[in-house]
Amino acid sequence: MTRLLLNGSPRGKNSNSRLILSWLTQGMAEAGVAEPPVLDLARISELEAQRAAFLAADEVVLVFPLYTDSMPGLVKAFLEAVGTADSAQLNGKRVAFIVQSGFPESIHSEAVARYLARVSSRLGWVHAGTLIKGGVEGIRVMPAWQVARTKAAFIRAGRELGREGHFSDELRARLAGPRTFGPWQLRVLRVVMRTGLLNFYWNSMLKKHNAHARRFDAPYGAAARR
Amino acid sequence: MFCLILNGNPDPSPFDDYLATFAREMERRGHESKVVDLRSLKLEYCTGCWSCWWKTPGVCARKDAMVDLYPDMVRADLVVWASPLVLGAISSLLKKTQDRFIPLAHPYIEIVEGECHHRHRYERNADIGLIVGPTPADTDEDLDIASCLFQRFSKNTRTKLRLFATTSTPIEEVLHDALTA
Repeated sequence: MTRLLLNGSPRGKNSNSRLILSWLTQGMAEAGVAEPPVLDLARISELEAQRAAFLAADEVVLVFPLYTDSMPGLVKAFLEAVGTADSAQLNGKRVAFIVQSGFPESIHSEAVARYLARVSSRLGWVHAGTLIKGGVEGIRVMPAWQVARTKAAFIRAGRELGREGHFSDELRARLAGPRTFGPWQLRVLRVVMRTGLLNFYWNSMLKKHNAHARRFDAPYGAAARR
Repeated sequence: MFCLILNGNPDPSPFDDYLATFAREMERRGHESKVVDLRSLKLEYCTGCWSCWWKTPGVCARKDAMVDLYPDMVRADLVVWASPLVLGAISSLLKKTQDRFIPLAHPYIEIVEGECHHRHRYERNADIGLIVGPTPADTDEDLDIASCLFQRFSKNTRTKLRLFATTSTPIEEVLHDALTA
């Protein structure tokens, strides 16, 4: 069986999606699967080669970040490119997806997950499942203990793919939590927000780049009220 | 009002005529409108560098046709995202342009109606319209998914999805929705 991993992050190699793929590969290896090649769709000049590799593969996993509430444009361009192939080259291909987002709730990614199931069916693919994982922004710079649970979940996802060929419902449900926050969680979140903890990552990056004082700049019109 | 129509049709087709008619009728009713044919512009993909969020707040690092488009997007009362459906979704050309919306948002997260959303960078974001051109292969489900994706975009940008139309929708109906704030 020929396997292929696709990274749909506009950031390419230095992306959270790539990190997730490395965990997935680790899990696949535990299931006895040889390390599949990873292609970065951000290398848009290599679209033809990416398309050929996809068409030659039996099983593909595509990981991407939620981008303006959908898939990144380069992922759509890739789907359009493979969508022109003969149905004989597409039928029966097993395709799994992982949609990761900075938003902590999975509700943001449900519409695009619905699209992925639909496009899989249109193109004759066997949809091996879509995992949604929120709260992913910054995982590359977080300490190991902070990402341990997420890492373990994606290693398990790799094992499941290697052994069963699809993601289990239980894992899918676990990763997708919370869909939305409940009233108590929202109350806690509002308190946390007042401390500035929720935007800590953004503030630290703004300060690192000497841009914190300009963070509310609105170069093309009137700025939002603070 | 000012209505900006972003035409994500990758190739010339009657879809362009539908948008031209819509724009012309808007003008006839005394409203400013502008159709931007995205296929004729030099537009790069967003690289996720986040410069627009943490290095040069509000300013994209990519210096391409978006430089001229951003002021119009901020000034507009209504931005109509328009595209033929390609594999049941907006074209990659229009999606590539939608990705470039990121500098207009702020990285900070706020809770709005029980969900996390991005803070506004500008005083207001333009309302949103979506016009799609379905192919014979597209079903009601495809239209529903296309609409749902823009409902999420509208919710996250905290604007109203004023109109959702296909090229079969009578122009009068589209105009009615476009002009209903």
